[in-house]
Amino acid sequence: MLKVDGIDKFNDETQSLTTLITIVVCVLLILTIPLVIQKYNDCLQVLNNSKDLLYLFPQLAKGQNTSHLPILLKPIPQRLPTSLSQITGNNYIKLDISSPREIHGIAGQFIKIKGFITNNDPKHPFLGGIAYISLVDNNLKVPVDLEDWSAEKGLYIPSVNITQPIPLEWTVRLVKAGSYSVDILFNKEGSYHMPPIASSRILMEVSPKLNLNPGNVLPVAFGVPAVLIGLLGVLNYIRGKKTGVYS
Amino acid sequence: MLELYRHELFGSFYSWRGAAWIIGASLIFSLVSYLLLTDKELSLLDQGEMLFNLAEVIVALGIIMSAANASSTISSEIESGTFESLLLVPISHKQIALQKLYSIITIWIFLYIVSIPYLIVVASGTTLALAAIVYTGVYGTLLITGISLISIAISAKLKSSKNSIMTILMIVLILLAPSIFFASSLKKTNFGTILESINPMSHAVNSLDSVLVDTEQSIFQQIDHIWPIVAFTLICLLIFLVYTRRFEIKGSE
Repeated sequence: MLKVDGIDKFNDETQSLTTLITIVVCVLLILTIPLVIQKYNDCLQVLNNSKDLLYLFPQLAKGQNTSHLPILLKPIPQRLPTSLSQITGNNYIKLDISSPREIHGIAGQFIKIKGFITNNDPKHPFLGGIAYISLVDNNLKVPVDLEDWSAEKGLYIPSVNITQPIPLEWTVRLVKAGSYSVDILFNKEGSYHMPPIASSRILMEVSPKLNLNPGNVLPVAFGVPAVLIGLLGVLNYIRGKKTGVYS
Repeated sequence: MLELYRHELFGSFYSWRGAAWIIGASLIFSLVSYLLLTDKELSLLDQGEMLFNLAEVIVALGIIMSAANASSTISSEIESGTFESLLLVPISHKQIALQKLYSIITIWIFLYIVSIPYLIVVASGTTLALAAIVYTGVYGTLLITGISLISIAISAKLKSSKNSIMTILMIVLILLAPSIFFASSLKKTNFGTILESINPMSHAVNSLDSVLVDTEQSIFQQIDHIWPIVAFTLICLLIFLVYTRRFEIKGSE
C-alpha cells in the first residue's frame, strides 16, 4: 500500500513538473515570437536601405538632380551658403514679448508666454526657423529642462515673405516654486554659424502650492478604511453573538 | 446550489483574518490617491494622468490578489485532504471550479466597489469620473476573470499550491512587465510594439491611458484594445474548461 502511494506521489510530482516545464517553454516561445518578427523586419529594412544606396550612388557620381536626397547624401558645396553676409545678416529680424514682463503664479498653474517675431526688411525674405523658449532658474543659476513645463518645445516658422509680426505662444505649466527668467529664442534656418536671436526676458515668480485637502480627498482617504473596519467589526460582533463568543 | 460559493465567500469576509485584504486594499487606495493629490510633485500631474495611475493600481492589485487566491484554490484543498470530501458533494467537477471562480470574481467586485470613491475624488472637477469607473471595471473584470480561469486550471493540474502560485505569479509578472518594467524608448522598438500588441495587460493599460489622458472615451476608439482582452479571456476559458472537466486526486487512478 505504501509502495503504491509512493508511486502515485512520484507520478503526481512528475506530472506537475512536466506541466510546469511545458508552461515555461510555452511562455518562452511566446516571448520569442516578437524577437523573430523584429529580426525579420530589421533584415528587410537593411535590404531596402542597401537597394536605395545602390540606386543613389550612381546618381551622385553623374551629378544628377539630388534635391530629393537626404541632406547627408547631398554634395557638400550645395550645403554651404555662397557668402558669409547671407548667414550673419539677421539684424532685420526682431523678437518681442507681448506677455507681462513679470509673471506671478502658483505651482501647478498654467500660464501663457506670448511674443511675436517680425521681419523688418521686406528685401530679405524670411527664411524660416525655429522659435523656442528658454527657462533659467535664477536661484540655482541653472537652465531648466522644459520636459515637464511645456508640451510645445519649439515652434517652426515657415519661410514667408511678409513684414507683419507673426504671433508666438507657449503654454507653460508652473512645475516648481522659485524665481525664473524666460526668454524667446529664434534659430534661423540654415544659419549654423551665428547666435540665435533673443527676446528680452520675463521674470517669473512661482510660489509653492499648499495642498491639504484638494477635491475632498481627506474624508475619502480616511473614511473608506474606517467604514470598512466598522462594517467588519459589526459583522464579527454579530457572528460572535451567534456563536456565543460575546455572550 | 451555490453552497460552495457561499462558503468560499464567507471565508473572505466573516472574520478579521479573512477580511484583512479589503482593509489593506482600501489603505493602499487611500495612500495612492492622497499622495497623487497632495504630494508636492505628484500633485502637478495632469488629473487624467493621476486617474490613469490610480486605475492601473486598482487593476494590478485586483489581478495579483485574484491570481494568488485562484492559484491555490484547488491545490490547497488537495494538500489539506479536504478535496475528497468536496468531490462527494453531488455537483459536477466543473461546478466546483465554477463556484470557486464566482467567489474570486465577487471578491474583485467588492474591491472594485471600494475603489469607486477614490476614482471619483481623484476625478473631481473633470468629466473623467464615469469613464474611469466604467473602463476600470470592464478591463479589471475581463482580465481578472481570465487570470482566475487560468489560475484555477493550473492549480488543478499542478496539485501543488507552491508550484501553481509561483507559475501564476510568473505569468502575471510577464503580463505586467511591458507596462511596469519597460522604459518608453524600449516600448517604441519593434520588440516592444509587438510584445505590447499580444499582451492583454498592455492593451488594458494603453486603453486606460487613451481614455483618461487623451480623453478618447468612445468605445469605438477603444475597440482595438478591447478585443484582444476579450480574446485572452476566451482562451483562458477554453483552458479552464479542458482542465476542470475532471479533477484527479492522489490514488484516483
